[in-house]
Amino acid sequence: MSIATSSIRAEGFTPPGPGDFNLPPIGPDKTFDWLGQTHYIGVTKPMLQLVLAGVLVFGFFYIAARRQAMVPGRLQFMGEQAYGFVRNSMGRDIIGSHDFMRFVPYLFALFFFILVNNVFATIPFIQFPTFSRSGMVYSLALLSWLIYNAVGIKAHGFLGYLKHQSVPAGVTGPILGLLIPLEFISNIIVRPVTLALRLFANMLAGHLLLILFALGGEYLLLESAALIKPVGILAWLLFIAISFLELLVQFLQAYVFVLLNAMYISGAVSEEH
Amino acid sequence: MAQRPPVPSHSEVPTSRGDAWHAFGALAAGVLVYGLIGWALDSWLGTSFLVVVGILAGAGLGIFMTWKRFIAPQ
Repeated sequence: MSIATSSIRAEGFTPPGPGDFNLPPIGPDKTFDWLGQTHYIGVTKPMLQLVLAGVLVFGFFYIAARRQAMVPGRLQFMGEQAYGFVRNSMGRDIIGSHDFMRFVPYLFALFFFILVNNVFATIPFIQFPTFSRSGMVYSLALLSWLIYNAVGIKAHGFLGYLKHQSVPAGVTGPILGLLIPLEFISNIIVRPVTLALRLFANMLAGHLLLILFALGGEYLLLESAALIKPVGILAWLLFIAISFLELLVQFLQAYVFVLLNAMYISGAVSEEH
Repeated sequence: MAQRPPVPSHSEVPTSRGDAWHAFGALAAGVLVYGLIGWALDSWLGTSFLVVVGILAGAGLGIFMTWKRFIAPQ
């Protein structure tokens, strides 16, 4: 049998798609219609993961901070290192030592919440990145948008803040008329959208890749001709390699999200131009 | 912990007038806003090329804004 006739028939394998991220609700599968869309009643796995992540993050840092010994034990030391990482590298170095402490609780909670939710994609039996559901990411971005705008308005006044965000640096003259809508859209619209989109797309694409390699490898191994079967093993090796890459991406995306949050807050509060 | 000298904020450091995300946001916003204006003009006037003109003009304005921010002397 030549390789050409033993090739895989495309209709045998259905590739995974974004629909696979639409997990069914746990419990009764009731739906209701509202505004022309069908909505589920019920709790889905990503919802439970959000709650679990919150409980884990709060629980860990509460237990780590409980004794507050001057000479810390191991758990307290780990908690202090973790807290110090966010507070120093993202809070103090970006926002400046003058008024960064106000924002540290938000940045700190956000970083570890996103990190734990991302790492859920790698933990066995959970294996679903919560932030591959775009609604959850856009909610975080909305919160971040509200915070940096509110902080800026409080620091500069409403009109002063609009001027601060809409007038680009170092430009004078009539071309300002063309550039003001641009700068406004760039600071007020593009920032939260790209913040959310970056996290969401990374989580979705990474997990989709993993599903593809796993299912594709299984299909190749079990249901293709003997000559093609080693490709299935290769697909599984790549699956393992990309899982490690995904661990890196999960940490990095959490870091970038909070770093950019800190930079937007710093830009809103700063006294430049 | 020992007292450290106060760290200036990211935007107070005199040599940094902005960061890479300013450049990206300027370009993306330019393309979006002026592409949208071009498309609106297209559907109002019935032409078909104004959206491309808008996109290119927006990209050019975004690059101009980035140049002004980072390279032009204050």
